[in-house]
Amino acid sequence: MRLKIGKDLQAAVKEIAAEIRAELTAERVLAINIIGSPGCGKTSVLEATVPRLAETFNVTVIVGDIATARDSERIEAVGVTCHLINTGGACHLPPALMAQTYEGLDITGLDLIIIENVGNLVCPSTQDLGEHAKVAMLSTPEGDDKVLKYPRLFREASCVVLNKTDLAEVLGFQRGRVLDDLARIKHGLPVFELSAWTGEGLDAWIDWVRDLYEETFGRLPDR
Amino acid sequence: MHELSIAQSLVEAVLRETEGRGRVVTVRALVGGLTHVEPENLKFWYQELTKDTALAESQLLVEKRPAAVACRQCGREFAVVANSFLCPNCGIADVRMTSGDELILESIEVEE
Repeated sequence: MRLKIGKDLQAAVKEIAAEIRAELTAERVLAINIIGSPGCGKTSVLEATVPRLAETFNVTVIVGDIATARDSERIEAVGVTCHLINTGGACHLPPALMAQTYEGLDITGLDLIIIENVGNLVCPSTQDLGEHAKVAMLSTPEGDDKVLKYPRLFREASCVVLNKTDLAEVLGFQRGRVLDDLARIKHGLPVFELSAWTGEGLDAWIDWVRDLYEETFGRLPDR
Repeated sequence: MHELSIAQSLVEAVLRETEGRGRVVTVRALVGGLTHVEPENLKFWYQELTKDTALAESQLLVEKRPAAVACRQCGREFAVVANSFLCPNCGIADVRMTSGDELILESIEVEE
């Protein structure tokens, strides 16, 4: 006898993510989840841009790392509060762990939460953390062939940050290849080519975050 | 990717659904093409977890369904092949996902 079941094995985690998103949205808090390889410069881009975002937003950063507080110490050193989640070996932040983090975090008065996920192009792309947008971060030393190798991430992403443009020439990095491959995955995906090291191109990325806030909540926060 | 934890949820769901029923013969699961779940690895962990349990003799069948999308420009639905989301009509990847992210316990065959 065949029992028809049709049970979604991800139902519980989808529910957690939806609850988180609803709560953040009700409090007018925008959450952005940054996903990229180890060493692509997630922390460096945040060090360079979060103090500027703090001019517009009451912002906090949540950092996921397998071990150490190295990234969160760097964020705190630029004067921004940071909550560290050591995943104890897990390769991504799961929704359940995010829910726990939010329980211990007073979001009243916050405008912006930036999540720096564990360095990994695969697993974090499948996890909905209740964020409003995922950002895929690439860097030129990783090579110009990564987009089609990790399609899920670029499908899920609302924009792409391409970091370390200052090294592109010496590495022979073909930016056209990245743009062509992105066009095969997702039409109209904004790409921000920048260098956290030189500061080139950071303005456009900061503007994108501001625009996303306005688009989501109608206007920028009153400060 | 995380087949062990998915196999655990699957086994728990099968046990819940078949409580008080006869012997479980076959379990059918559906896995979407964008889930990063590898069917053979999922079957391996299912077998490992069900060893020496009431499900030990049961077999897990996994269907991996390719991701499918619908073009926002012309409405055409198509399967994603070789990671290209380009619409065969329009030539651009302006699509919404219609399937590809599923992890579903579809059905269970039991001997009453």
